[in-house]
Amino acid sequence: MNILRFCINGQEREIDFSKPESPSPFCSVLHYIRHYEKLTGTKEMCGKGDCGACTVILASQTDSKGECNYRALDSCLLPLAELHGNHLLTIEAPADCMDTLPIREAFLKERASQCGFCSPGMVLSIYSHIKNGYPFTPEFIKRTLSGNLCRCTGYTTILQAALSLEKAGVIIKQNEKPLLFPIIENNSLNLRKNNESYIRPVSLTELKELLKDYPHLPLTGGLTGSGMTYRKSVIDVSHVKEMLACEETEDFITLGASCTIKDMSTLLGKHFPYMVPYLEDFASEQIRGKATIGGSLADGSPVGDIMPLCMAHNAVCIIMGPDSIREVFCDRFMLNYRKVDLKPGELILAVRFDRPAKNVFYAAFKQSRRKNMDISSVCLAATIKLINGKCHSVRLVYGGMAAVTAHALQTEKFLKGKVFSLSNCKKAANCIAADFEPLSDLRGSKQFRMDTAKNMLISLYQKYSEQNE
Amino acid sequence: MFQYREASHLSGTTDYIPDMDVSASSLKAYVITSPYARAKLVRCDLSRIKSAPGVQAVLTAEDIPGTNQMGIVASDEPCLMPTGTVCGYLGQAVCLIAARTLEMAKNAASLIEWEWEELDPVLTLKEAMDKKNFLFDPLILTRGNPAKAMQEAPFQAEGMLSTGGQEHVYFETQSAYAVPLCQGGLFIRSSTQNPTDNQRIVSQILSLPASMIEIEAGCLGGGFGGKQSQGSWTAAWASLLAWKTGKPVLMILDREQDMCLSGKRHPAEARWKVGFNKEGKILAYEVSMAFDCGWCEDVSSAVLHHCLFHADSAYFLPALSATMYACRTNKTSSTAFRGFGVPQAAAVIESAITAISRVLKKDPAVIRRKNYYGIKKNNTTPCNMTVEHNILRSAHSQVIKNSDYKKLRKETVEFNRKHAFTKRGLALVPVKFGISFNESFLNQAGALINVYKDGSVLLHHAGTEMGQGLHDKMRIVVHRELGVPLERIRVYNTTTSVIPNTTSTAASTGTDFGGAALKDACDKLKKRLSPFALELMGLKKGTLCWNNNQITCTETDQFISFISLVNHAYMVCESLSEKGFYTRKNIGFDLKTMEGRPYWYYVMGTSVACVELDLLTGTHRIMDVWIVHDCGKTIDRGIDLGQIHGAFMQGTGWCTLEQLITDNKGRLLTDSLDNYKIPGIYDIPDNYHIALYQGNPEPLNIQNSRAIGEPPLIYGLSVWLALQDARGTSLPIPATKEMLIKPMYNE
Repeated sequence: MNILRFCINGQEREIDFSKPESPSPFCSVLHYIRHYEKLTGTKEMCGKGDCGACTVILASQTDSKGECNYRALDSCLLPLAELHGNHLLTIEAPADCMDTLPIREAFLKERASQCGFCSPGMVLSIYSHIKNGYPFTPEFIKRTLSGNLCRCTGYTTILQAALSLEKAGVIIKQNEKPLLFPIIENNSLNLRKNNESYIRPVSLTELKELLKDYPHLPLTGGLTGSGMTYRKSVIDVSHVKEMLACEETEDFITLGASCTIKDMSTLLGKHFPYMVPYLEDFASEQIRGKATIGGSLADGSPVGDIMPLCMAHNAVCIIMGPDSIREVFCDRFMLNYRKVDLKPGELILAVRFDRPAKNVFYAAFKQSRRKNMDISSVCLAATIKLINGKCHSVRLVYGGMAAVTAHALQTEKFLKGKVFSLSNCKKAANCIAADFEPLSDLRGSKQFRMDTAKNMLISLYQKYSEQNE
Repeated sequence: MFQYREASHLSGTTDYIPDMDVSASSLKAYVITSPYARAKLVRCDLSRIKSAPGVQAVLTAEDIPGTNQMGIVASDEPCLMPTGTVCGYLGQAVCLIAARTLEMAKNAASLIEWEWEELDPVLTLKEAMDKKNFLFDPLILTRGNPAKAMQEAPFQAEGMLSTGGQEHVYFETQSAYAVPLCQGGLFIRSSTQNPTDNQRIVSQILSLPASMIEIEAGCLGGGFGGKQSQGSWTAAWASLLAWKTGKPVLMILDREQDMCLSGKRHPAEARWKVGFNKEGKILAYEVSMAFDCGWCEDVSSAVLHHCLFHADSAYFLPALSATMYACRTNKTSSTAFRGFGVPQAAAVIESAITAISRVLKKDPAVIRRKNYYGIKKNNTTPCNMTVEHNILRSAHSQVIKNSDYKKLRKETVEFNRKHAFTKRGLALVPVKFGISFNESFLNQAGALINVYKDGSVLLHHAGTEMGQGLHDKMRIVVHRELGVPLERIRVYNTTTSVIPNTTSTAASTGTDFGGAALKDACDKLKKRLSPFALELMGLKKGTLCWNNNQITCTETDQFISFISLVNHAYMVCESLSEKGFYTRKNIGFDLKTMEGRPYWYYVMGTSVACVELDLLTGTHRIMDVWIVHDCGKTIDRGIDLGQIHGAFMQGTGWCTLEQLITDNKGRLLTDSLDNYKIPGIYDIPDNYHIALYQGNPEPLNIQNSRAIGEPPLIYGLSVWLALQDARGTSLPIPATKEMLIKPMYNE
């Protein structure tokens, strides 16, 4: 079947890609709604997930009783295929599908719309906040709006409007009818148009077959990183059931590679609370709900915020090939600049973390020009096992300091066996120069990177002493 | 109030240009631009583009029927660069394509075959200064004998400051939709702050009379100055293609192209020297500033004049020498940006004051207060304009009181003693911002009021609505004058067909001009209708009060409704339409003596910011901001507060975050929102404490209000100065994390 089924604003839609007038399966939802549906309330601003003006709501059924899950996503990064089986809500949605009136009224009252170009996106991000039952505190609202930029208001009135909506959820619920969902036989997709194909398996069995048949097709996860530019043919692994699972045993926590950064924050954050604020600085709310762990690791970015965490935890990548499964320590997964240990036909199935250990101090820091929605200049993830105040084992993994995310080997060696103290951390900083020779680029000069990397060791000790006061 | 405009924004129904329901036959336009910063176009072959699928027209300079020129002041900016000439920057328009789809146009663009002869570009201010690469002669303003006063001053300090550019990041990119009209001429919907100059430029390019070109501006998705002069580009390009093809043409620059092609705030480098006495009183101030104007003049002359006239900021300078150099470089042509040269001028003199405070070991706020313009003496600016309705000291005292400044300072010192890696900083910054166009003829505006038989009112005025709430302020002005309920007053899109010869909506004058012109129309209308009102009430004379949708005689308390009055007027064939006009006489200055009255009035206020800086990362948090700002008698408190919040964050972005990076070939590397960062919601202050100054109505302005758009941007400097206070060093603009981080591992 070359057909996509979804609902938009209360109406069913079917796109048959065999028809000449149909869009490409790679067409972004933004382009589709603006040009095919002629719904122009969703605005196009940056076109690459950096502003949130094109935010839409994607509702997915979570069970047969009509419960659904609401996600605010950047429609510019969302491929059409993502709509399959779901209900897309845009600012034009009728009130019985999505009641945004209380939000819009709050904005009017606070004068929170000036030029108005960011307003529909803002309204929808706040709608998702309400639907997800997040707390109405400035911290949580900021988290929700971390991916929505505004150039006019300076945000204060928007924040005030959002804060006033604590009770709006009840009213909204009263006005809304249960959302309609299309009947789909199968969640797996194989959409083809011209010479493009978008293949989305939902089970491991299916995926294995595909990897055998098409070992050279690029694999994608959330399509928020390098995937943004894929326009030919891909296998989208973000819906493979087995890859969405999180397995907890006595010794390990194993996260499926298609878990999103948001999932990771919840599932791992439970065991490692230090990760939560670090992961909340990853891109924006819209992206965190889409970008996957596997995607981030396989992308091989030298600054990717996820890899340093995995390496610091000495996590293991579980890799599936056409015939077998193998395991690789994350430490050895990155081979070179943007080159990772994956052969054609292989993919990351899951990442396995050890459970929190006693006497181990964990911390992670991210340095970027803007706190949120920005790629790291430098990041550091650290795990230090302390016995009687001395560093028994030290793992310091930096991103942004070399062609790959890497251990600060000399620095680790220096600290090993020494007392974990401020003065030793300061001394250790002098080893960083032996470990790294960073480059200057748009995200920071060489000097800035060095200073940051060195100072982070002091921050590390500071964090430790705060926790052990 | 009824918020038609905002309600439509929020429900996504506002039709910005990309959202217009354009005709199915309309073509999409794309512009091909120079790939070098400075190079001669030797040969340009379009044959492959012309035969590409979907392409309907390809135009170069040779195809322009009229004058190939779109400079707003000087004639140094061709609409399309002719073969054989040298491009001024990387991104200069060479060739236009209209195709059935944008994708087709872009694909065709890649088929261009051309030959360039690369020349060495000038990319830095230093190089431009060394080569004396100036767009026009330096501007100089002198008072007294600064050299002598400097020499005689007991103390001196000097320094340098570099301030960066700033991309506007209006959310709606430059865009226009041009539709050929059946009887000739064009209708153009344009995202512009300046419909009349759009009209002038299109008419000169097409060699058509202005009366055949209609420019309409709806709600803009932001402007901030970026659509004052350069908003005419897409109008001109789309018009040329529409004229050539006879079809409607839609042109929307994509984000990267918009960022690479369009101008930004002027980067500047300043040297300053200040002479002062032991109390911290400034005796002499010398400043010279080099501005990176980019490749052509645009509005740089006006920006530099505005900067020159604000070299003093809020301070009385008995002796001054200020020189502004307009450097030509091979970069985008710097253009208007909220503040228009004033932020740069203010940053420099505030640096000087901070230096004084360091020498004298006094709180900078004390030095600032000492140097404010006086009420009765020391109250004239270097161009001999008297500073009237001066509230600088009073606003200063209020902000000191509101912030409990002395206690805050004590706490800051205490905090810093206790913390090695985290430092707090505090700074107070005043603003004194002149309102008006320095060019006297620009200070004019027309308006038109149409009253319908049912008593509802439609307004036309010269200003464009770009988010600043201008249309709503206009409704309020008319509501107050005519007494018609707000929900019955609408504002029409800004169009040159109704209000001709408008000045751009810039220099914070939108409300001043539009409001006054509308009031003039209201006054005339009321004067004409009053005899009918009296007649209907059976009165010979009386004082009429227009309020609550009725006209009341204050002496007899008799009244008639507005609706019955206009109905009556209609029945007796009295016109219910009235035009208004407003002008500011006697504005201007003598170019020789540099004396005169460059401004109609000044807007003043003061802010205090308190920041906390993490030295280990260079990350800061704005803890509290106190502002006392004078809007005179505010027309709409909500709009004015929104402008203060927005301007403050935009100023803070310029001072601490936003950075433009160009490579050594002149290519802008920060060409998208991915690598050019504007403030996000995490960057806002923890607490705002904003007060509007009470009791200083502006007698010279509409309903005793004062302009609001630009002045509060200066308050962003308080964050920058507070960071310097926390860091203990002087910092450039932007003071990014790179500047703020402190290596602590060797301490």
